[in-house]
Amino acid sequence: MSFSQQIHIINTIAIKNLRIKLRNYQTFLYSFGFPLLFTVLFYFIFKPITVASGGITVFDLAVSGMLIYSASFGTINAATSLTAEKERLTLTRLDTTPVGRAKIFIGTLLSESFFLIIQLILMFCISYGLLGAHWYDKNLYLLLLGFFIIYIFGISTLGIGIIISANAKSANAAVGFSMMYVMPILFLSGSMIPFENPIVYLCPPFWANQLYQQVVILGDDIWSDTLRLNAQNIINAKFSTLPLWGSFIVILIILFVTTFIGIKLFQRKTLNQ
Amino acid sequence: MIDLAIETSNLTKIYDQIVVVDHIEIYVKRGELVSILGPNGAGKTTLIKILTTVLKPDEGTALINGIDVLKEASAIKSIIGTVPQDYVFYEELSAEENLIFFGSMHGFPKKELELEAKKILKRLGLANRKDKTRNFSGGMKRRLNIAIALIMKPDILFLDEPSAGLDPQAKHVVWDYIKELKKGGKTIILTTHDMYEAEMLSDRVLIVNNGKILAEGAPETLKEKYSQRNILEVVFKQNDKANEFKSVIEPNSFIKQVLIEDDKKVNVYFDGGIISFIKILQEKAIKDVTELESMSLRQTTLEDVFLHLTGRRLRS
Repeated sequence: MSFSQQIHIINTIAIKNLRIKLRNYQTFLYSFGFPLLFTVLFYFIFKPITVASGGITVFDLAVSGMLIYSASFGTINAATSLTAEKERLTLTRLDTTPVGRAKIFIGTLLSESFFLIIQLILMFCISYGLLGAHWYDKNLYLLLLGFFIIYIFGISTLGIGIIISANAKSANAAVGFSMMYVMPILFLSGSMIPFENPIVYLCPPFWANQLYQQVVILGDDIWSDTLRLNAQNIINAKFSTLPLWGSFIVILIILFVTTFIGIKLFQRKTLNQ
Repeated sequence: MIDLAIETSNLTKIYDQIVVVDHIEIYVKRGELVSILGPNGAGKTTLIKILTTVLKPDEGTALINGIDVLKEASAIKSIIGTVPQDYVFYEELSAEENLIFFGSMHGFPKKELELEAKKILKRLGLANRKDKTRNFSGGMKRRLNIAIALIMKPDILFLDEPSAGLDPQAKHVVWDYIKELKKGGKTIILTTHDMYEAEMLSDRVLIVNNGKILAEGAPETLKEKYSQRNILEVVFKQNDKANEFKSVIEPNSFIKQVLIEDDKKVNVYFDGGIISFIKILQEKAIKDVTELESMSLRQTTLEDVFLHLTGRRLRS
């Protein structure tokens, strides 16, 4: 099979996944509906509360939490997509074609990352375009950088989804397991409600939230500045000695480690069964 | 030299210390339709999974068109088509979208697939359905399940219970199509526990039980070889009469087996002449003919062959 044929197969898998996703109204509800609903609610509740000079409000800080919440649905999406493939036996049927598991994984990751882009564009448009959330100096480059940070974080959540799908027996179970992981991790990371506790460092969303808030809201330089480690008052926190880009490295490590473990587990649980 | 499409040697699969496929040796000639007949749990689906490269055998070898399933699985995948027992496709997609998707997995160009999909869907009476396959009836889903395997233009087709759960009319549509495929020269392996289906469609039948092949041959040959006895089918009007009849008839030396079905129906397998048997029936077994619903001598079926080989009915 030629290289272009292989690319065509991966694209076909990704397009098929997107078609299935877009034809299920439940997908819209939990992937778009909930994050948008919470963003609008947070706007009405927190916009009037100013936390720093320059007019930064609680809502402006909460937007990053909402973006992370939205991106975390990558776990649920990847888990349900692959579990459904197992549950309806299409995975076994695909195994009798020359397609190979690698292309199935790449196609799935491709469709999920494309879906994530749609989700994030929508969230950025609503938060910054419509609700006027603050970002540093109205510098569009920083907003694009922020988009990229959340996007990479979103991709890093897919690996946990693959791990869940390796063990879940049904798509419904996959949603349940994913929620049991996503929601506690979001709260424990301090991304939704900031709190000071060493446990936050163990939760992946913390690193994405910290990086996003420092870069996009406070305008810190990703290459030269360091982390401001005070979750409850990031604006007035003193700079630590840890480089800010270190957060991005943590996200990348999580991405590669969870994806690797996920694929290994999934293969072990589903091949030759 | 015989042109073989499938050849296995000593093929074995063990799950949790249970031998599901037990040192199976089969051969299938090119263009042949072979049915694997056996009850649920006999090892039919596991055997198919090994031949279609989904499962790896624990022992033995299997060659498809001379290619080893263990060594060159990807080469085999491009020449086979599988029709699973369940409806396996994407219910959110239309029939045509499903066909084009699965065809694409073989690397066929989209234009070619669109034309081929239209042709197959038309032949199977699904051309007018553009909606999601979730809305399809059981018969339509079954036909689509087969269509997906055909879009891949396979040399060898594996059909796992292709007519299971269908009404008689829908079954005939599927059977007619299988016959048409066979005429077209495809090698077809069919697993079923429907005796009639196996008898009507197959060139050869393999009877499988507990992972072993008990017998193989053309349906007529098997019937002649394994069930030369006469069969008398007696149906009583009342439930309690069947047991009473059995106890009277069973001790006679020429009676080989007496089997009660549904409390009222008795199948008597016997050797020897019918005259002497009727005499016993008149004198001992049936005192009052008004107790009978019906009584008939019938032809041997594959079901009888299976009963002879295993001592139990296929569906029991």
